[in-house]
Formats: sequence, structure tokens, C-alpha cells
Amino acid sequence: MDKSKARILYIEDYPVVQTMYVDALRAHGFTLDVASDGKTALELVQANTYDVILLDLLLPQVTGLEFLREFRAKNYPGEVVILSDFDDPGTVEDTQKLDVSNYWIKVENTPHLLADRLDSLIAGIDGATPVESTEQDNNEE
Amino acid sequence: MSFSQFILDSHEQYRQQVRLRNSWVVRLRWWYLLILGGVAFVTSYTSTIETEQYRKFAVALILSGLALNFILWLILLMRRLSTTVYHQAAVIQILLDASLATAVVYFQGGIDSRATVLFAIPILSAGVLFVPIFAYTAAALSALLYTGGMVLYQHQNPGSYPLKDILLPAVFYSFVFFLLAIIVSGYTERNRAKERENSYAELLSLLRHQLHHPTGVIAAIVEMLEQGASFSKLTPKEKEYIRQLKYENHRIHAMITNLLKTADVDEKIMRSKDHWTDVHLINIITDCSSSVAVAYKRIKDLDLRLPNEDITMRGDPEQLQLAFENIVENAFKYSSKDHKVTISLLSKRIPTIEVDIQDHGDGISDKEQKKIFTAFNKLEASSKDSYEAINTYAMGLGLYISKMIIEQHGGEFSLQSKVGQGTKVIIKLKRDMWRYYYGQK
Repeated sequence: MDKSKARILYIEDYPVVQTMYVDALRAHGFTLDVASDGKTALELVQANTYDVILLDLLLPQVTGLEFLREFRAKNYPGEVVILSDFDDPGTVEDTQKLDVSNYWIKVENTPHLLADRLDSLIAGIDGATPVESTEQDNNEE
Repeated sequence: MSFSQFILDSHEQYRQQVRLRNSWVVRLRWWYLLILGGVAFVTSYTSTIETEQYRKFAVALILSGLALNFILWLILLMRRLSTTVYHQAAVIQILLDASLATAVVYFQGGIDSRATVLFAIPILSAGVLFVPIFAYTAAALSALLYTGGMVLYQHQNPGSYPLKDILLPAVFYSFVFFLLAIIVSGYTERNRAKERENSYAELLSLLRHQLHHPTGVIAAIVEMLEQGASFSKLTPKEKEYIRQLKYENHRIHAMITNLLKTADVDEKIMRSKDHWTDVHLINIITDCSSSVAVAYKRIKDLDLRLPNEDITMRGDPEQLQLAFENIVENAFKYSSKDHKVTISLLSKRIPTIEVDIQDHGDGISDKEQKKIFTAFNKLEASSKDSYEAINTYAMGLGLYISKMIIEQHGGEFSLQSKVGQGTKVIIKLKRDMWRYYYGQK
């Protein structure tokens, strides 16, 4: 899949971190929606379809893990990547149970590095996009 | 002092406070103070004491004791006291409680008084709120004061009871006090152990985030600076500063990760033997050594010499896996490619199992060997050290964790190393003799 067409939702509550990652990802040509808490994120995934969701775990109101549970329970499409500060075995295990393939630690995934990794991740996703989004693509064309 | 011990001790004051606010004994205490006030009031009318002056004295005594008790209690509740002061205050409180109970029983007519039940208060307070072992102190004190009070009563009111009729209930009540102390302290000990385990886990997860978060932010900021448009305009020296900042940040991150890893092991050790099962040692060694060899892309260098039999021992499989992984990883990390890493398992003298992990790397100097297991001394020492020192530090923590786990399993851990010749880690464990003699179920 082409990265300019990929829809990404980035969920992060810490303002400095959010600004930096958003700036870097946009500079790399990604288009993304941003949520600062789990509740807003849930509203966004309800209204839109995303190919990739970048999820921080410690969020106000609805935590990352709670968001993930809800997201999986409702069977929304899209790949979830955890972007967290720490990787203790218990937390990693919890997310793996919820079908998260990628668990990235922030200190090792600085904004531009993350953009590169995201690039190859999206390249790996095939173009078969869900129904709603195909329509959207056609409209744009 | 282990990391967990340090954390728990500094957390103890806070938990004391939480305990004082939430325990049912605290509510009981408020009722007790209230009821005791009522008793003092009633005593002033119904006491068996004849003279008016004496009755007034009794009420004044009980009321002032009550007031003192109340003030002390408020101090305990309101102030965050150091552990020593807290314990001293607790002892005074117990003494006051028991004295008050004795006074009330005394003025209520000696051994006939139902107020004897008041002695439960110092014992419960000591056991549940303060230190569980204090319950015995409270029981002993109560027994002593009660007996003393009753003998005094008999002496003051001659002819009321023969002495033996006083001593017998005194012995009986002393017995009841101690029984209560045993129950209360046993119950509290168990609760406290659970509380410690939970609060430690909670604290660790808090620390994990709080300590890791800033390093993630700093790493992102440094990268944004490096990738920014004006980075090329910086002088070489300024660029070097930024590079140094990045390096130091990674160092902190690595240290925190290692520290928390050690703390995790501490936590596992505290949880201890509930998680023990039958461990098939050969499987564990094969699994972790081949996964490490694959990770280092040196599968050819792995030289496994394992006996052709199933060797079982009792233990925590996750922990043992971690212990062996650390050691094997060190062996690969500190030896270069095409040098063999030999892992052999010997079981010559039943029930000892010896696992040797031998590498042909650079080896560790005697000086470094001495430092290697003192994980936390290392932490301070390495703050100004070179890059190599950090590596040794990381190795030290890994081996420290392994050593703790092996010792937790009743094993021995030793290290032989010569500079230029390599390092050999020798682990001695005990196999499960039941399995050895009676085979698989």
C-alpha cells in the first residue's frame, strides 16, 4: 500500500511527544488523525476506518488497553501498533492476547525512525481496503 | 539491602497511613473511645465505690486517660511519623489502652465486670494496626495489668473474694488474651504479606512508567534536533554535544531497564514457591541456548553437551529460563564469532546437577569479578565510567539476576575467568530425587 493513501490514527496524550511525532510523520508524507485520549480515539474509530492505529498505553479517561479491548470487541478493521514507554513482559503479553503484532518502545522509535518503520509496515499491508474506504478513494479520484 | 527491601521500607510510612485510614479496627477504636467515655459517665453513678470523693477520682482518672488516648490517637492518624517514632507511639497507646481497661474493670467491680472485654482493644490495635508481633506485648501487658488490678481490688476491698477466686479468672483471661493475640497476629501477618506483594507490584508498574517516560521524550527531542533544518549550521562541537546527550540518555534508559528487571526478579522471588512445578532442565537449557545462538547468528558456535536422559527438578520454569538466558547471552556477547560456547550438563554425583557455560572470549579481570555481583554498588560507580564499564555493569546485573534465581532454587553459582582465555560459569542445582528413583508418573 502506498503511504500517502494509508489512513493512520495516532493516539498520544503527552503534548510534546504528540507534536514531535505528528510533525515528523507528516514531514514523511503520512496523513494522520490524532487523538489525545482513549475516549476521543474510540469516537474516531467509530466514525472512520483506519489502516494503522498507533496507540500509547497510558491515556486519560480510557486507557490504551481499554481502548484496545473495545476496538477488538467491536471488530473494527486495522492494524494496531503499540507505541509505549516501557515493555514489561506482563503488558506485552496483555496486548499480544489482543492481537497486537507490533510493540514499539518510544526510546527506540524516535519520530523519524518510527516514520521509517511505519513506512515498511504499510508497504506490507495489501491494498484490499474495506468497503467504505474504497468508496472514499473513488470520490477523491 | 535488596532493591525491593529499599522500596518497601520507604513505602512503609505511606502504607501505615493508608492502613490507619481504612482499617475496620480504626472504626472500632472510635466506638471504643466513645463507649469508654460513656462508661466513665455511668461509673460516676453506678460504681461499687462507696465514697463520693473516691468516685470522682475514678471518673477523673478514666476521663483523663481517655483524653490522653484520644490525643495520641489523633497524632497517629494525622501525622506521618517515622517508623521508629510510630512504633514508640504505638507502645504508649497499647499501654494506655490496657491501663484504661484495667481502671474501668477495677471501678466496675473487679472480676465480675463485663468491661474485661475492653482488653480486646489494645490487642486488636497492636495486631492489626501496628506491628503484628506487638499483639503479644499487648496480651502480656493486659494479663499483667488485669491480674494486678484484681489483686489490688481484693486488697482494697477485703473480704470481697478469696484470693484463689481472683487468680483463677486472671489465669483464664490471660489465656484468652494470648489466644486472641495469636489469632490476630497470624491473620495480620498473612494480610501484610499479600499487601506487600501487591503494593510492590503496583509501585513497580508506576516506577516503570515514570522512569521510562522522560527518556523516551528526550530521545525524540534529540532526534528532532538532529533531523531539523538548522542542525547543519551547528559547529562540530555543538553537534558532539547533541550526540553525547543522545548517548547519555540511552545509558539512563538501559540502566532503568536493568534496574527494573532486577526488581521484577525481586518481585518474583517474593512471590516465590507458589509458582514451582516440575522443570525439565534439558529442555530449558536447549531452548534458551539455541534461541540466544540464533539471535546472535552464531548457531555454529553453540556446543551443547547434554546427557540423554530427562533431568527434572522443582522450580519456577520462567525464572530458570531467565537465569540461563542471561548467562548464555553473556557468553555469546563477550566472545567473538567462531569461538565456541560450550554448555554442558553433568550429573555425576546424585543429586547434584552441574551446568557449565564456557566461553572463549576476553574473560573478566579479577578486579571486575569482585564487582560483578554487587549490582547496586555498580550503579553508582558506573555514572562516570567508560562505555566498557557500562557493558560490564549490564553484564553484572544480568549475572546478579541469574545468581539470585539459582540461589532461590537452593543452588550454587560460581564464576571462573581468566583474561584472554574466557569465562566459565558453574551452576549447581539439585535434581528431584523422587522423580529420579520412581521415574515419570
